[in-house]
Amino acid sequence: MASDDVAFETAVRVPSQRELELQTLPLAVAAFPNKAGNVLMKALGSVAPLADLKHLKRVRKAPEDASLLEAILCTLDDDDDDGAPCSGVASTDACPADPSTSADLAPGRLPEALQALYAQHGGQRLRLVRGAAVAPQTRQQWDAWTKLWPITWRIPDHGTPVTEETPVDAPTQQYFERHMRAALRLASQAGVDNAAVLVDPEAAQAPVAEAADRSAVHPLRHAVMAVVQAASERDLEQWPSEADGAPQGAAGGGAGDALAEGAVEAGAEAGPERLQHGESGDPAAVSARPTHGSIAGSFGGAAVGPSGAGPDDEELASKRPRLGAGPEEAARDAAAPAASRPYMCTGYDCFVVREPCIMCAMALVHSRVQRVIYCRPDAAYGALGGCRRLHACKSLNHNYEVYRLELKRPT
Amino acid sequence: MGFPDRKVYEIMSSAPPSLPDEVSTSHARNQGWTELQVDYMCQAIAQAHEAWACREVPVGCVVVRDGKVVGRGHNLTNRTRNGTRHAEMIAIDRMLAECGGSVQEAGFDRCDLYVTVEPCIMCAGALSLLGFRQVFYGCGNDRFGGCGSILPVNQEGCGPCASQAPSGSHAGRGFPAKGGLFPEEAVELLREFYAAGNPCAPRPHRPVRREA
Repeated sequence: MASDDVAFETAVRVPSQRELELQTLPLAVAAFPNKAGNVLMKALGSVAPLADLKHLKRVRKAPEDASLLEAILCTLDDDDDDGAPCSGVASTDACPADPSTSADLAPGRLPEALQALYAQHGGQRLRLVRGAAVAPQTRQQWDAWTKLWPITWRIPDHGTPVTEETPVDAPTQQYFERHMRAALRLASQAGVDNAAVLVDPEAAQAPVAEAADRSAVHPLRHAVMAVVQAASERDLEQWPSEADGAPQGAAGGGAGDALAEGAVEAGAEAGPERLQHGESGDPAAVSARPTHGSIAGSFGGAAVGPSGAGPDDEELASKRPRLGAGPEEAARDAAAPAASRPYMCTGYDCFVVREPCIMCAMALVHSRVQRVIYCRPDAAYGALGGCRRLHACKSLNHNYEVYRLELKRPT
Repeated sequence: MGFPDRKVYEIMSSAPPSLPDEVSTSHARNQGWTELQVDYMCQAIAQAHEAWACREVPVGCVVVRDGKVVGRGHNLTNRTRNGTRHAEMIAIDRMLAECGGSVQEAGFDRCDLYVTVEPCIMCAGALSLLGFRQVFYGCGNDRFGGCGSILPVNQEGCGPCASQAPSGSHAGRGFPAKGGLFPEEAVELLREFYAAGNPCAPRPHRPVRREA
């Protein structure tokens, strides 16, 4: 593909649909003898179908009495507080099981048909139980919500409607196009269909790292995984020692030995990747671009050399380029000059030709990138809008923004 | 494999939590775990201890193929400055290295993984792509878990990030995963580690303070 003269659609921000908050509603629940089960179910189905609550199981075993079952008779308005949503999905313990939320209920509050049914089948212990008002969207929600009242787990339909896709402004579009072109070019040069480029938006002249897909050689070396690796090698090359990062200094005397051993191990660990890269004979496929020193053209090469050398802090400091002129970075640097090297890919933008799979999307979460921009959506496996929306997952410790910058469709 | 040996512990300011004792191993057996499974997970915990000793997030794993431990690893995210170098990824890359990069020879689809913490979403994706046969883990992972805690990647599988999956890829395939083998030990290691502060976490996280 002649990637230099491709035209793009306007990039849009791919909305992160929020995870559902738990909303509960009051259910009139009564206990019946087990033997009433089948007849009761049929009767309930015709007298009081719960069309909107298909996710809730109609009956369950009574938790504390094996000879009884409990059934939902109907939904009721309760008099006091209403549906204060239990807090989020992450805290499974936040919603207590029913005993504390239950209250005795007078049969007179039921519709007449249900009152009759209640009496006829030997109903007892009529009470209110709060159950989830809508079906959970994730397994974890199910785990938490089903404790209120049992829920049938069904994998939700993928691709729940997107709320709104907002276009980016002109300078952003220009910046996006420039680096997406580079990613497309890289892929085409390497003869593969995916490549990724990491850019520090505060120093966008040259990318931090770039890599083409290498999954033909290494099954997990997707473009994103490769570019994250390349960025870490650049980091090790530019800031070879941990000494400037404070942790080692605070660690006490002997720890250095352990760290040094670890360094050997890290070098050994990176070895096979270097070897693979050597085989490829294609220096364009993977490269990191340090702003000084030699080009770290090979996978893992940077990890071995300098780690044991005991580098001079001041010298390092003078070589260290200013990262991000943003106020946040500036403040951090002023407060703690020792911690000024980047923390993995914090603040970077990742341009990738194809919408990342779930492994790559999560790798970018671990790497703390700021934005992910992709060109070709993947409805089957894409994890950032295709079949999943990982950036909507609020339980993660980091979230990034996601943009789609598609090629212009022929008119 | 060049791991720091046990003497490293002596220079650490405090000892890591201990390996599973008689009580907890017999408890695991009573829960239906086999002698071998208990042994494999103890080896995974030993890997987590190695991580602890070199100030890495203490998660460890072993890979078992045909009844033999053929791979080991622990987190190396701090050392490599790469947030994706989790125990599983390290073990996988070592196995590949020993097989000269041949996925076929590594035979991941005949492998079981024993890992102290539920694989994260990324690692679950990787395990899916390689077609791991089965995964056993210690404690669940409420922030990143990819085997049901956050996302059921082990049921849904992972995509290839390419228009065509390379040959030998198991894209889209899931794997059975079962937790609960020595969860307390796994959690205890993490708690000890984070109580001291991850030495490489960014500021404004609290800094490491250890008494020499």
